[in-house]
Amino acid sequence: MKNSKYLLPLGLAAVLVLGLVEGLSAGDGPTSATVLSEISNQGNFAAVLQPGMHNYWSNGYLITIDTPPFMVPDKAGVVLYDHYGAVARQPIVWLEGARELSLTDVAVSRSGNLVVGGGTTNNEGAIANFIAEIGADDRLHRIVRTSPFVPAYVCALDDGTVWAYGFDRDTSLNLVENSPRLRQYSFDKGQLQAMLDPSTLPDAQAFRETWRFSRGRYPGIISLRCNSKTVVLYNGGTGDLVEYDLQRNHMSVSKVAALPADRMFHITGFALTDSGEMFASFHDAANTKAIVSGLFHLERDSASGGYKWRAVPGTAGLYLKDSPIERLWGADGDKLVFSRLKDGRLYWTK
Amino acid sequence: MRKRRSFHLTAATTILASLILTIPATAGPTPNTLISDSGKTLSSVFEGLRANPALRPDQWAKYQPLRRQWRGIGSSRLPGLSRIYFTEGAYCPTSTCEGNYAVIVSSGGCISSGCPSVNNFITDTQNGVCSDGAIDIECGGGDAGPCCANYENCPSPSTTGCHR
Repeated sequence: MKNSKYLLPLGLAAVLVLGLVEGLSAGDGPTSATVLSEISNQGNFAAVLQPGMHNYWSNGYLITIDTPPFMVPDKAGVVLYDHYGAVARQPIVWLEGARELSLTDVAVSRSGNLVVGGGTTNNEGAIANFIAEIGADDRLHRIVRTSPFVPAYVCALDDGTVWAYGFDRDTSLNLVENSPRLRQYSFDKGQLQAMLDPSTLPDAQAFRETWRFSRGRYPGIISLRCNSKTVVLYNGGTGDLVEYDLQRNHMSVSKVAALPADRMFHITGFALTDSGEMFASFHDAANTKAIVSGLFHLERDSASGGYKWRAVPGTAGLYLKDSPIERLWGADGDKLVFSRLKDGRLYWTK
Repeated sequence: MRKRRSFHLTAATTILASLILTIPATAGPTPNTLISDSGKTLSSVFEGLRANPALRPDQWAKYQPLRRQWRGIGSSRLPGLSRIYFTEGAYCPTSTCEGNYAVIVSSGGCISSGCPSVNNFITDTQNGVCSDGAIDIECGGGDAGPCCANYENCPSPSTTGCHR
């Protein structure tokens, strides 16, 4: 009875236990390749302790954005840290004629090309949304105005194009529900492609309200990532996994098994590795006396034809106690970058 | 004498012009290239966009000046069954989890754009959960205008007197 307070809550606990059992029985699945006890390197990152709007690890950098994400003309509002926790880039994002400028997301490509998405308002109240490329001098070099499309998340490819998840706004600035959410932009030609109208999905009516949240119900529930072969959009609220094959120029939408609906269940991190594996960290505070967290791997579910999250063995447990995962910060090639405690340290899997 | 003065003037003008021409284009805030989504070159990111009177600075002042503390209501005013409305916020939320028995009663902060109303929540001691606090979260939108926010439930830091 003494230990009753440590009983895992329903919700994530059920998922964790089932995942563990399945993971053990599966044996040779890709999950077993990830062993978090093996650490290849680690570093001190004071920035990970700061509250952030959308801070994550991508292509060799810890990307951080000021909170709130309002930029100023004479100070860097975005900071990128290298593997050792040292400041690597500090771009100043500002535009001529702007009264206000805020960022929605920052991304860096494999080759180090840095891009930002955001919006700006002038003194007359005109709003312009944009995606911009930052030059080696940490100043804006190329801009594509995306209005009326608001880029909520961006992902940069080595071919110089940028993929964005977002939404169109009408003349009253309201979200247009039946507009394509996924776009590809070029700094030479503007918008190249537009796809993924949520109103055309098979379960559009059931998830209409969920899609109306431009960035999801909470930060982290929607993730946009890309590697050299694929652009991935995962909406944890609807369970949709959108994959765009860059070689075949083909988009597919799959369903991921539903996550616990409890409002205290959160996706705290998401990663797409270079080889295309997807991972996420979950955090469940439904039971405030036994908050749990863990690392999950996205796997094909032969029964449903879609995907399901499966717990990586040995990663699930009480948050900041016996769980080795405080939060997944992203992928570094095929390695995962994660924190274990709230101590400002990041770890890399082998 | 006049010829010499004219020569000096021409030389000075030439040097000055050369200096101006050699200043790199990246020195100022103007980017090297700026295009619309259709690929058309723009002179300003605001070129051709409609002004929005509601987002003019003098209109914002009706609500709250920018970068003032997020206008929430602290935990000391939460207990009891009372409906609490939050006015439009102009600054992204930075508050911590507060209160008990917080029940989210509407949505919309992250849905509508421009300067949306922030979600309301009520403190409901009959139907709410004692350990449920409320926290305002920024939901972005990228419009650079007043911040969009939603209220979410969170584990209250104070559960003294709670039965679970």
